[in-house]
Formats: sequence, C-alpha cells, structure tokens
Amino acid sequence: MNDLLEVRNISVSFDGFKAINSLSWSIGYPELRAIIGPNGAGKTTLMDIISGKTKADSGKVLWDEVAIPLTQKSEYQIAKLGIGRKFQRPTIFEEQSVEENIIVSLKNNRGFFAALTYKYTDQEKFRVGEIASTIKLTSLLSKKAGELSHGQKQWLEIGMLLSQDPKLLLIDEPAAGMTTKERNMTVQLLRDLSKTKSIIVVEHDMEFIRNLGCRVTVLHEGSVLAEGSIDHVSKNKEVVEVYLGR
Amino acid sequence: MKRFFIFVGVMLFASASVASDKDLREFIWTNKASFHKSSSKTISPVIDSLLKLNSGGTEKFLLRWLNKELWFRKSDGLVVTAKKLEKKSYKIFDVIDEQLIEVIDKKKIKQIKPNSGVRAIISSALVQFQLLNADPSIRSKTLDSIARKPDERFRVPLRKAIEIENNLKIKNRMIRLEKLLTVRFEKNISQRVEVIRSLKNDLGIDVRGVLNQIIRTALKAEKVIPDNINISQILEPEKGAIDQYDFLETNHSSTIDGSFTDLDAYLMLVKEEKAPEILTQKKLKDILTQQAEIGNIKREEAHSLDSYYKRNSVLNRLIENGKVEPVVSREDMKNIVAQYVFYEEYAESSREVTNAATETLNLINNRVSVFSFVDLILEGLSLASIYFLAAIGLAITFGVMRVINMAHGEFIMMGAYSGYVVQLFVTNYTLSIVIAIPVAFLVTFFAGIVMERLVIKKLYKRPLETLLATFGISIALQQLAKIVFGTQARPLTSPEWLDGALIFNEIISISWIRVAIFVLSIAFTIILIYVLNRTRFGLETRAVTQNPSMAASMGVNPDQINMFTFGLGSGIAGIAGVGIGLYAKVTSELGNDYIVQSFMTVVVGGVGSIWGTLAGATLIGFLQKLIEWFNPSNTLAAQTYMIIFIIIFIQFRPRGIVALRGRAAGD
Amino acid sequence: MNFIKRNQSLNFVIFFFLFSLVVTIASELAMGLFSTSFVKVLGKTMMLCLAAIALDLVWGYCGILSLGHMAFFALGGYLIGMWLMYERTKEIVISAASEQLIPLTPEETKEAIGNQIFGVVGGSDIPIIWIFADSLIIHLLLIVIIPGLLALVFGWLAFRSRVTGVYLSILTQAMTLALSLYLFQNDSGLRGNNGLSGLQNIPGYGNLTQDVISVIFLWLSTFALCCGFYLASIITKSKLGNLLVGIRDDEARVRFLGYNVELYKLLIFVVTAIMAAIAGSLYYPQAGIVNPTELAPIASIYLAVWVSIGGRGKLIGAVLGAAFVSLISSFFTSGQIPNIDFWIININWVDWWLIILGLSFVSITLTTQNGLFGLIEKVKERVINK
Repeated sequence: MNDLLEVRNISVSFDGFKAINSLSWSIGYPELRAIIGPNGAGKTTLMDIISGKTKADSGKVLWDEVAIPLTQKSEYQIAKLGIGRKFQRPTIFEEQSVEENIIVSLKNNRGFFAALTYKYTDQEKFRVGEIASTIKLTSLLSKKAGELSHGQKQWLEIGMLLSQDPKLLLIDEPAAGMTTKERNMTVQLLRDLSKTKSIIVVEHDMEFIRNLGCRVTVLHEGSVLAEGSIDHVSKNKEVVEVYLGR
Repeated sequence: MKRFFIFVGVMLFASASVASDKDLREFIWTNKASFHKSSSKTISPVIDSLLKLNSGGTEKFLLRWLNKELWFRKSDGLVVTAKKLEKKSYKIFDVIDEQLIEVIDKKKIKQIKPNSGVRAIISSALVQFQLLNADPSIRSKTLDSIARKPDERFRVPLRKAIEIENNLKIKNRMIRLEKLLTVRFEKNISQRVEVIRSLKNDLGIDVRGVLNQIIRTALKAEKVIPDNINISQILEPEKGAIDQYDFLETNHSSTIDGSFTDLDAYLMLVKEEKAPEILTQKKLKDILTQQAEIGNIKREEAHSLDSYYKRNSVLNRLIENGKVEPVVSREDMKNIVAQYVFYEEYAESSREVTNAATETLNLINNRVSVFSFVDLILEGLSLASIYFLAAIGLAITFGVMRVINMAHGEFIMMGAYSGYVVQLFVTNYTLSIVIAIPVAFLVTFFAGIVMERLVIKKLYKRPLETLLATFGISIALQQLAKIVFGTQARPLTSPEWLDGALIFNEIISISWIRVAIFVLSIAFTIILIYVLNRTRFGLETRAVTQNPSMAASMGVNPDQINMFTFGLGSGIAGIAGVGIGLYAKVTSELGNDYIVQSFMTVVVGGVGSIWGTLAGATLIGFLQKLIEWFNPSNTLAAQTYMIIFIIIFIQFRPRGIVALRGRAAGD
Repeated sequence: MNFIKRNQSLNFVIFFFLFSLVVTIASELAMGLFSTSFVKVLGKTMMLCLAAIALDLVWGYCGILSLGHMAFFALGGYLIGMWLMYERTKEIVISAASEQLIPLTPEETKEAIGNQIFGVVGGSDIPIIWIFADSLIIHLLLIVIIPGLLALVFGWLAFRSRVTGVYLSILTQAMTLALSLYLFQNDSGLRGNNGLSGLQNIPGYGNLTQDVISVIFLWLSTFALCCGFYLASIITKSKLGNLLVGIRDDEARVRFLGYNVELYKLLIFVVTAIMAAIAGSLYYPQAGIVNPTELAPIASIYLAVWVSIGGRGKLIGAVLGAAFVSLISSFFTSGQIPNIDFWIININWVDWWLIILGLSFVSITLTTQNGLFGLIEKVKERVINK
C-alpha cells in the first residue's frame, strides 16, 4: 500500500495559537481513515491545509506517487487533482435541482467557455443515475436541493464529491444531525466507497467511528497523539487522559 | 548708520516750523487752479508743498478734498465748503475756519471732484496724519493700506509714528513695515543689506514677496554684455531644439521642463525683433494668402494648397522669382542665436543686495518648508479626525454588526440639521451647541432604532439587500430634507470662542473648529472604548458579534443588543453631524460627501475594531493631505489617487490594518 | 436543468422587433404620434434595459453587486462621444474655413478642432487619448477594449484578494467614484465637468434630421438589446449559468469542485462590463451629452435598484424593472403630473417622487425577493391554481 497523501512537518498558527504543530502524517490508497481528537486539536485545520483553504506556515503536503507538492496550489487546482472536500455544514446549491447539483460536479473540463458550450450527454446521464442510486436520491433527481432533508443534503454533497471522481475524500463530521438509520447507511456508504478510494473522516461520534472499523488517528494540540485501530487507541493512556482531562 | 538716519528724520520733523492757518489759506488760494481741476500727474508737487507747509488744518483739508466736500466759487475760484440751504441756493464757508462766507446760487459754485488717481494720491498724503491718529483701529487700518501699496514716501511718517506709538502690537507692525519699506526703497546699500539679513526669521508672506521682487530677473539677449549690470546667470542655450523643430507645428510654446534651448533663445530674439520670424504654418499661410490676394498665386492653385509641403514649394518658387523675401533656414537660426549672449539680469542693480536677498530667502524658505510640513501634519490630523467622526458610527454598525447602512451619511446630515433647528430656538451659540449634541444623538439614535426594527432586522441574512434597502432610505431622507429645509445651505454657527484659528506662526495655524472636532473625536474614542470594553452592554455586544447563538444561550438577547448597537452607531453619526456641520455647509447632500470616505475608512482600518477605524482614518487623512501636498492644485486628483491606493492596499491587507485572523475572523 | 428548457429569447426578440416597428410607424417619420424626443426616450430606455441585463447577470446570477456598471456604461458613452464630437467638430471647422483663399492643412485643422473642443477647459492641444478620435472603427473597438480592460484590472485585483459581498460592492463604488472624480478634472483630457456634447449628430450625415436619427438609433438599440438578451440567456441556460448561481449561493463549494471561481467571476465581470459599455455607447448619442455626473456612484446604485425592483436572477425581471422604473421616473420628474394642493399639504411630484421611489424600494426589498417579476409570477400561479 503506497502513500496517496503525505503531510510532512506542517505547522500553522493563528494569532500566536499553534493550530497545527509540526505534524507529519500520511494515508495510503485505498484506505478509510478516521481522525478524532478533542476540540481545537486541529482536525478541521488539517483538512483545510490539505484542501488548500488554509496555507501552512511551514512544511509540505505531497500528493500521489509522483509527490506533487500541494502547499502552493489553490483550492480549485487541488480539487482538480482529485481531492474532494465535504464540509461540516452541508454545502450544496439549494436553488438548483439535485440533478443539476450532480451535473455541475461531474468530472469534465472546468473552463469558462467549456461550461458555456457544455452539452449533457447520454453517457453522463447514465453516470448521474449511477451516483443518484449510490446516494439513494434516484427518485428525487428533479427536486430542488434546498427541499431535501438534512441527511439527504449530506448525501447529496457526498454524491457531488463522487461525481468529481476523486481519489481522496475529506469528510468533515458526516453524521452530525443524522438519524440513527441515516448514520448506519452513511457508514455503509463510506465503507463501500473506501474499496476504490481513500477517505478521511473527521468525526466526534465514537460509535460512528467504531462502526467504520478503520484505522484511527488521534490528534491533540496540532500533532498526532496515537494511531491504530479504535480499540488500540482507546486503550492508550495519553488518549484517555486527553479525552477525560487530567 | 541706521540710527543716524532716523535721528536726522526726526530732527527734520521737529525742526520744521508749524505753519499757521493763514499760510494754509494763502497756499490754497495761490494754488486754487490746481485744486479745481486736478490730474494725478500734476497734483503731486502741489500736495508735496502742502505737506511741507505742515499746517494743523492740512489733514482736515485733505480729508474734505478726498470726500468731495470741497467746492469753488466760479467768480474768483475761491475754494470753499458748501451746505445746501434750499433747492437752488447753498451756504458757503471758509475752508479753514468754517466761517460763513455767503449764501450763493447753486449755479455760481462748482463741486470739486477729484478723480480716482488723484484720490489715491490724497489718501497716501493723509497717511502721515492717520498714523498719528488717536484711534488705534485707524492706525491699524492705515498700516494695512500701506502694506497694500508700499511707497517710499511713507517711510518718514512711519518712523515718526514708531517713535511715539505706545500700542506694542501696532508698534511692532510699524517697525516691520518700515523694515520692508527700507528693503525696497533704501538707497544706502549697506543699510539695505543689513535690514534684509535681519529678516531671516520672518516667515511672513509679504517678506518673501519683497525679497522675491528684489531677486526678480529678466531674460535678456545682447551681442555683448553691458558693463555694470547685476547678472544672475548667463544661459547657454541647449543645442538641438532648432534641428528638431517641426515646422508643421502651428505654434511653439516654450519648453516645458524649464531648460533653455536654442529654439527658446531664437524665439526670444524674434520677440525682441532681433531676428526674423520662423516660417511657421501660420506665417507661411499669411504670406501665401497675401500673395494670392495680390495675384501672385492663381486662385485654383491657392485652393489646392492643403499641406505644408505644397505651400512650401509655392513659397520657394515665389522666393526664386523674387516676389517674396527669403525666409530663415535652420542654419540661419543657429547662426543668429550664436551671435548673442543670453543672461538673466536682476532688476536690482546692487549685487550685494541681491546676494543678501537670495541667501535670506533661502533661509526663510527652508524654515517655511519645515513649518509647512508641520502644518501638513496638523491638517492631516484634522482631516483624520473628521473622517474618524464620520466613520466611527459606521464602524459600529458595519464593523460590529456586519450591516451595511447606506443611510449613514443621512444620519450625519440629520445630526447637522438637528443642530440647526436647535439654533433656531436657542440663540446663545455656546449653549445651543451644548444642547445640540445630545439632541442630535437622540434624534438619530431613535431614527436608527426605528430603521433597525422596520428594515434591517428583516434583512440580517441578506446583506446585499440591506445595502439597497438602506440606500432607498437614504434617497428618501435626502429628498425629505431637501423639501423641509430647502436646497440652500443652512448655517450651523459655531460659538464665538471657536472663531479664528490657533496660530503658532505665519505658517502653522489651525482653526479652532478643527481643534474642537479633533477633541471631539478623541473623546469619542475614549467613550466608545470604555462602553465596549468596560460596560455590560459592551460585553454583550461583543458576545453577540462573536457568536450570536452562544450569546443567546447565555441569557443575552441578541435582538435587543442589535437594536441598541445600531441605535448607538446612528446616534454617534448624529453627533458627528453636529461637528461636521460646524465647518461644512449643512445641505441635504452633506451625507454624500462622507459616505464613501467613511466606508473606505472602515474597510482600510479593518472591520470590528475602534482602533482599526482610528488607524484607517489616520491613514486616509494623512495620505490625502500628503497627495495634496505633492499636487496642491488638485484635490480631485488627490481623491482619485487615494481611492486607487485603497484598492491596491486591499490587495495586501484584505482585512484592513487591524485584522482579526484565523477562525475568529470567519469567512 | 435550465439548459434543457425551451429557448425563450425568440419571444423576446419578436416582441422588441414588433415594438420598434410600431414606434417607427408612430414616429414623426410616418404618423407623427410619437415625438422625436419620445422615440429617443424609448431608445435610451432600451439601452438602460441592456445595462440592467448586464448587472443582472453579474449580480442576480453571480452574486457580485457591482456598483460600477454605470461607470462602464458612461465610459462607453465617452468613447463613442469622442469620435462623434471630434468628427463633428472637424466638419464644422472645415466648413468654416471653406471661405478662405487657402484651405487648411491637416495640422491647422487639428489645431482648430483642439481650440473648439478644449477651449472650455482652457486648452487647445488635443490630448493624447484622442489620438484615434478620427477613426470610428478604432473607437468601436475601444468601446469594448477600454471598459473591458478596466474591468479586467479592477476585477483581477478585487477577486484575487477574495473580496466578496458588501465589501466588493463598496470597492466597486470606490472605483466608480475615483473614475468620476478623475473625469471631473479639467486636465483629464475629456473636458472636465463639461463632458462631451453635441453627440446627437452623426458626422458625415449632416443632412439627416433628428427624427431620422432617432429611428436609426431606436433600431440599433433594439438590435443591441436583443443581442444582449440572447447572449445573456445563452449564458444563464448553459452549465455556466448553473455555475454562476452556484458561485452566488455557495462560492466555496464551486471552488472545491475544482472550478477556478476567481476566473469565472472575473470573466463574467468583464463580459458584463463590456455589455454595459456597448449599451452606453448607444445611449449617449441619443442623450446628446455625457458628463462625469453620469458615472457618479449613485447612477450605478439606481441601476441596482431597477434590477431589484424588476426582479433579479431573472433576465426579464431586469428588463422590466429598468424599463418600468426609468420611464416612470422620467414621467414623474418631467412635471407632467399636476401638483396636489390640499389644505396645508402641498405635494410637488418632482420633489416627492424620490421619496416614493426610495420607500417603495425599501418595501419591495422587504416584501419580495424577486421584485415585480416575482410578484407577477405569484399572481399567475394563484390564478392557475384557482
């Protein structure tokens, strides 16, 4: 298993507060990885750095086998390389239909004029149908995205990431605001996807993590505290201390 | 030396015997013809002898003459004063002792009406009397008029007046004025130089004016430099301009960058008729038109001459045929220029004097530029405080609440009008301003609260629409003010103690109103920082700003806080309106002048901080003054560059000078 | 899917074609029902509609509330105005010189033109920016190039630093203010606050009367408006349209989908700036004069007001708003409505109109997000549901 993404010695601080502190870490391909940690451990910041939203003060982020450095690239370039990002709050185009949401996400030429002259092909229509069935929104394709339930919106966003055909998915708190049934379905969805993709999940819900059944990275004060299976890390003394307080 | 002269002057005055009224009457009688019909050319010697007579009645006589109160009897030419008795008859009186002479028919007398030239001479003759007048304000006014029209003849009366002047302020002015007159008119070189050098600490614009006049030069061209003239510098014409000269140019204006080219030199010779005119298009056309009129060019051919080259070839033909004098070629021009020496000659013939003047002027100018810079800083500070006042309310509504209020300028306007209305009822200006400030605050505070409740509250999630809705309010308010108060500017009169300026010296001064505005803005800073950092309201405001839902769960009512914060921001705009109204014209469009600058101030300073606004206002105020300093003629350009600067500034600090960074800043 | 829907711009074109036909027939050329000045008002209104379409594209669709599009509009006017004024003055100068024995040389003509045009600002030299003023072709190109370039530079600076929302609006307003202040200067080379005048005549066609010219410009305006609408509807109905709406609603999402949002914004900003400039270049010859007050920030805010009243995010809404509000504005401010004198209340419509406009604007913003067009649609829905 080769590294798909490697974070090397990254540091970033906001107004003197070190959000990430010489963090080194990596993920293979395909792999499902959960990141946990208390508030302010730097989970979201790490995702921000990978996806280009936040620029690191020092260190490197290397992508894929050819080790493309990501630190100087902008968000859209990183996304084009095959990194999809899902936010905590579902970000979808509420004014547009589910189908339109997926169509604009489909992997194809991202240019301005290409978008102007774009034609919706049958092949793509088929692909949209595939994705819709993956995220269980087939019957809602023509519905306005803003009218979906919270969980459906989360899925639609995941669906939009899938349409991009990425290699790596960054998923921030997918279970927030979901019913137990929806959660279970989400777990299943992520596990299925992880067969062909690398996925990083940031989540607070330990039950959800346990169900994912994957390797877990524990972040604390901007660096890696422990790594391993959920059972392994939950036995780690330091982790317990961090979570329960001293 | 100087003392000696003064001594002599005083002695002359003292020794001159005081003539009696009789002498004066006799003098007027012998010179009556000059008084009847005077011209500025002939009257001077008469007045001079009249002054030499030194009679006690001279001043009165001159005043009457000046005020057209003198008449003369046609039968013998006796100069009298007259008083209307009935429709056609006048009483006439002796001009000196005011005894009635007779009652006379109007046709037999004639009023003496000196023309303006003569009146100027009379009034300057009166100066020596007025300088000694018991009323200090007349003495002061006389000094003003001497300063306006300096003349050598005032020197002696001035010196005399200085001796006996007891008002220190007027005395100092007299001494200074006497010095300036000495600088201009003194014949004794060493004394002049001494006085010039003594002026080196004087920053007065009149001093610089006089010195500049001394070192004024005239550009001259001669084949040989005459002896005994005071030359500033000899100019070597820069070669090449004649070669480059484009005869197609319709006219040539002198070189802009201040260099003196051979072409400039040649054109100067042309002007002095020392060289033939250049064959410009205009000249060429004149020659050809003339030739066409006398028939040397055929009409059809004339009609075809629509380019310089065609015209030139016709001209050459005419020259060959001997119809026209040959014109100068480039070589001719260069040769002519080479024959002359070009130099700048001082109008003042003494080298010592011009040197002293140049050196003194340099010293003064150095000091002036230092002081102007200090003055610039003061002006920048003042402008900054005005921008701060205008923007601080906005910094609260826009910065803290993220609500854009396009009607902010109209709140400033409302504050200014509140002040105006208060002044309609309270006539004591000090008291009215003291009342106006809380009134303006209350008016705009409630206006702000009403606006927040009715409009803003419903648009918190739609900031761009807030912009447009508040703009709608802005145009409505502006128009309403226009209807209520009219289009003409309404005065907001400042109390007397704010009149005038705080004067440090001739260069550095700042009006008291601006000082007051500066103080007001400092007071604001302190009060606001206190309110936001030290009070419960401030705490809650900050809590709502940072995290409304969290604040709500802590028992703060965000709704109410928003309302009061908006009211506070608007109220401050109202007070700012009173301040701004004191020095600017209060019109319905007052707000327009400040709204964009206010937004710029907030944007540049950084959202969400009073310190940021302060920094933004300081930067913008100083920068605008600085740009104006480099290009003083053009405030419009200064503003243009200012805005371009801001747009570029945003590139480097998108969040302003005082920026919140990281997660707290949000996106 | 928007871009699957039926193309509705044909209806639009047909409507405006018929409209202009009717106006032409009613104009002084034929029946004389409409005065020449009224025909011009209609032509001008169409160009305001085109500017509104441009703003709607950039604001209603892409979420960038530009308070600078009227600056581009006026800039278009200036650029065509330079040619119109230069060539017109040239004609006057040449005809004035025709009495002289010797005709003018090109240099003398230039000087005379300079004196004529710049005498009011105390100059006679023709500034360098007028270098192409004798070429219509170049100036037509400049109408596209100059505003486009300005929008490009400004947009690049603004979008690059990720200035968005209200901030961006203020920045565009500042740009507009800077431009108008610059043009107010006498040494701007564009006659300071006098602006350019006498634009209502077409150089080279001195024998054309205003009634003919007004109809010519009416048709030119119709053509431009239809082209603009067609282009805008192509954009909005393509995937590009979806992306623009996406940028408006959630810029970050579009960015993380791999689209270069800044480039998209920049291009749409430039395209609409050019649209506005073209609209202006047809508006001002009908107005006859362009001066720096035309590009004061308030003009751009008015444009936003029209679009908002008409209904933004809908092209027809923008057209409707611009046409309705600008026509009704000129009606109210023309003094044609009798003033009301009732007891102590004295309502002078010229004065009160602005208050009504301001307040109605507030209430429309508060009550409906989609303006008049949204209101019409709502009513339609109700009628259909019944």
